[in-house]
Amino acid sequence: MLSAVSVNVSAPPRAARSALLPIVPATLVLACVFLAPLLGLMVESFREFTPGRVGSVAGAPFTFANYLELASPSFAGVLIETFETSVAASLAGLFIAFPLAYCAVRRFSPRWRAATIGLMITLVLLSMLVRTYALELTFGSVGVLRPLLLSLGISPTSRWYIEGLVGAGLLHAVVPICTLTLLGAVQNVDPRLADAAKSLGAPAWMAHLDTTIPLSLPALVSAFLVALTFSISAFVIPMVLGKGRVLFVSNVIYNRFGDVANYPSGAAVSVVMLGVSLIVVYGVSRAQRLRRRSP
Amino acid sequence: MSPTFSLKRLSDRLAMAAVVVVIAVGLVFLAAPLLVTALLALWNSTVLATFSS
Repeated sequence: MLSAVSVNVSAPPRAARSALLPIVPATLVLACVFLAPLLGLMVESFREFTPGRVGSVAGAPFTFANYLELASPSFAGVLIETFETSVAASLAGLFIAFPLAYCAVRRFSPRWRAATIGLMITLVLLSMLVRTYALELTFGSVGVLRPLLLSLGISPTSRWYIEGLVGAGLLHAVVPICTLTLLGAVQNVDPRLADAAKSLGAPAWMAHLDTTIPLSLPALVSAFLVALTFSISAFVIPMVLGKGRVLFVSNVIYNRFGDVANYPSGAAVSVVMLGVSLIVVYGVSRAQRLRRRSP
Repeated sequence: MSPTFSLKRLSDRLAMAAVVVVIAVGLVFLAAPLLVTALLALWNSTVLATFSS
């Protein structure tokens, strides 16, 4: 009897171990394809750079200078601007995407629903470069709205306008992603809950605030994280719409690797960016998990 | 105050109007740049065709 119990107790770990076997090859491939380059990047970020060379010299000594250089106010400014613009664009994206997803699922006619979802899928699949230049041709300094902007006293080459344009570019990229992420979640929220709240006397907006939005909160957090990670790693949008006056961290990384050929410094910026992004994503996910646990 | 006036109905209408505005602005903002680019391309090809003929 005792041996039977011990066999039963030891069975699940063995079954679990054998269930893990099929994922070993995929894990090995992922480790080689993703972790090995990251490891190489980390090692490179600690190498000493000799000006005039492409990358670090083979066997160059290790140093913290590449990281200390990033403590400068100019780099902190780029990092803050990247996160500020990305968070603002992601929140604004959710603000537009949630009602859009809700109405597409619950309110629109089948034809409008298909048209809305089709537009979102088209935008997601369309080349980022095409979309960015479309924005530049519409709202940019040479865009069709230039006469209107000038007549309103807005200079399309002013710093604040260009910052807004970069934010608009990120918003244009983020709204379709958020809408498609939220569609399924909004579909799964039982509409009878809001109807019940309304039948008990709550205004429609309050019924949605108390039922639809709290029940969609995990999806909203997921959509926000997807939008945020997309925005902070955006490269084409700040490069084309920012015209060198608005720099994101990805542009700095490109400059260090491409223009200056200072691979160790570019690697250090990449590692810092990766670390900060992971901390932000972990923090938001953790806050969401704690909120779900609390009564 | 009119007997048919209802604060609840007014707030519902205002909220609905706000949602409609957000959705309309969002859809126009998403579609307008692509439409403008398509029209520019069409206009450009017309101009080129006029000059080349």
